[in-house]
Amino acid sequence: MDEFDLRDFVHREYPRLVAAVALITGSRAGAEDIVQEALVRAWQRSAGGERIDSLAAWTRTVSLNLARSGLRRIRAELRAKQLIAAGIIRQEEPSGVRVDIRRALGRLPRRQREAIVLRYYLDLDVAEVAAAMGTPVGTAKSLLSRARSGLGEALGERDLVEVKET
Amino acid sequence: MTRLDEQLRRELDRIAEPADPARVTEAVLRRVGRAEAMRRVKVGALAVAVAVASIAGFLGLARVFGGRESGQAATTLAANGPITFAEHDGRTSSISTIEPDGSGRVKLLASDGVVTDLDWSPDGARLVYGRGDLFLDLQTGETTRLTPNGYGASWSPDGSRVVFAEDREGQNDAIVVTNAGGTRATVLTEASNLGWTDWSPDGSRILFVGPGPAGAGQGWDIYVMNADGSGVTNLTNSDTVDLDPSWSPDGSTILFRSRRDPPPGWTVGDAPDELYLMAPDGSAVRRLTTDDAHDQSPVWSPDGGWIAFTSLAANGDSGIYIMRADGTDRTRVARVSATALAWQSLPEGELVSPLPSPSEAPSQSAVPEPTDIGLGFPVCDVSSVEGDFGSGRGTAYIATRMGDTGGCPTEGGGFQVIAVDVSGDNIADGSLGPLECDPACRAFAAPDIDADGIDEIAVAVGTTGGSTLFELYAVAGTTIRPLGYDCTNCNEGVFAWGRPGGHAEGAYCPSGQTPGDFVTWWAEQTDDGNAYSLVEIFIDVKGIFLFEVDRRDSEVPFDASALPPGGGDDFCGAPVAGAAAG
Repeated sequence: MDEFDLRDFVHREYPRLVAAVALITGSRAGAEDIVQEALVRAWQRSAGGERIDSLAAWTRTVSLNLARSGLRRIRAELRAKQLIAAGIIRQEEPSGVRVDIRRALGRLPRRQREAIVLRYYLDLDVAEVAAAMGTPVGTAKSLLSRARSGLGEALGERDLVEVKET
Repeated sequence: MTRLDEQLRRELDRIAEPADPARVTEAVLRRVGRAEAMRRVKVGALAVAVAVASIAGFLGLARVFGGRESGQAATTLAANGPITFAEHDGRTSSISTIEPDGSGRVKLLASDGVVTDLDWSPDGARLVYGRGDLFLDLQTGETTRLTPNGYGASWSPDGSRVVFAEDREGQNDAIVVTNAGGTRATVLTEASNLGWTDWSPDGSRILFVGPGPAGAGQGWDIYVMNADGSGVTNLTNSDTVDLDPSWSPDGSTILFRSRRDPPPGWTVGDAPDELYLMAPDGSAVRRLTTDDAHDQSPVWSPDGGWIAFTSLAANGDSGIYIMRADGTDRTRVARVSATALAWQSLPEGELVSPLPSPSEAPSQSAVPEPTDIGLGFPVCDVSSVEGDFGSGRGTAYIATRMGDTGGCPTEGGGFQVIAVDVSGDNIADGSLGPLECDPACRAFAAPDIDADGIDEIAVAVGTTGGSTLFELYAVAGTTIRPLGYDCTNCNEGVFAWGRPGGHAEGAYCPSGQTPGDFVTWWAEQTDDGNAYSLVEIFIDVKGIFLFEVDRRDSEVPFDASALPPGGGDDFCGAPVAGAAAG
């Protein structure tokens, strides 16, 4: 990993990964902190001689792990609080439909929320979702199925027929 | 696909807020520097200072030149002078020189942060390096900053100017030329994703890297322009990745690295970097290396007969290599993972004495040995603090579990536990862990904040942006638990852990503030002895976390009565940070 890889990742992957982590954690500024921290760790590992074949997959997995860490979340929020106080980050008020889907997402159990965002926002296939979450494929399918049921109800789509994940 | 699938994708796309990638690369690299600085901080002080990409100092400059006065007969290869390289050990960067035959390795200077650029002035008297493009002047030993956001710098052949890429907030990147003093900067061209400049030997043209034909973030190409910024031409014009261009000393050939020929099964983005040559008009591309390693940072020898480069191999067989300009006689110079290279003859002569470098400070302690405090596993880095933990005074420990390999983990490694000895036999009666601390946990006796008659333990778990984050734990007999703090009956008392003197520490519950908040402070006698330099950290208790909400620096008279409440040992006693248990 060198500076090129970092710049390439930042332009290709960073914006959407941050958005995904924000959907999972509910903290936009915290998500930036988490993904940047994952990149710092990737750089340090690479500097230590470890080869990272897919920076995108590595950073995605580490970001999810960091997002699960209570300490990391708290520290990210602390940093975000400082940035907000300094006027660097603007707090936005969600409205309308956004609130509904956010609320529905927020009501999902954590792992279901992760699965949904990976599958439907980052467009990973089920195997990639499983790999990113560190779960068997069957578990990922189950999480997705349950999450879709929950979200479908919240979105008024309860009458729809589900298609089994393959 | 069901309507639900479609709706989910649509709704998630609608509520998602993709991040702005501007300046993120620089932010990440700065954080790399900060993270490395934090790892070096030793346990034992309340505040953890975060150093940001500052130059640590110069080391052994005179030795560089002394080493060249050995009187040995120079071979053709050695006549090119030493290869200068930057390396990064995961904590700090250093810039060193080494002879092309692998001998005479000399450390020039240490630097926090990651050094990604190196270029000597044509006379070898000044080095531009690092992010922010810092000048090291070998004659004076002084370092100055050329620009806060520059990278990929290159000297003009007459040594009067420097060209570099500059990251400009909210705008395109720019290729900027400035005089050697860093003033009178002129923008030559602008675009997204610029970098890696190299000035032609005749001074007429400048190479740089810019976006590929598909636009920013979709590949990189090598460009050339006239030295006044006119005539910008894409030389490689491909949808792959072409980087690190370097003019041969006679200006007839351009050396670069590329991922244009990925091996089977690889994508262009992940393919190993290989080295190539091309004519100055982009024609006659010829591949020099054919391995699965990342061959990067190629530079010419001053005589144009050799090429030095770094090679990072998946099997760990990485190092600095040289080969002839036709790709033959590949030889490893040193087994180091260099982050940047330069190859330049350097002048001989005496230099000013180098400044001391914090990175060369004597080690504060010997290699720690695991010890046993009755947890069922050996621990390292034990610190302790006393308090009233429910059955009279007891001792709380913070310790790091011994690593799987049998020794004490390096600082910041391993996981840490909190333990308590309430029976007074120096054996832990209860424990809780692992704790999440970065780089290491530090315990402080806290007052009886919740007024239940038992002291709490405050654990500093990390530092971010110069702020220290604490967690609060309660001890009930042999049980330790995170304290979900409900401040309905807060103790307004005073507590302390330091005696006034040249150094004093304390803490107090300020009246008039939100109940439960408290202030820690420390004071150091100033150099003239007439005052204390006082730092107060205002802490807000939220659940088990204690947030630093404010920090105030001031100077007060050198008088114990001028210090905040809390001086003395009337409550918790002093923390015994770093003291071995038992």
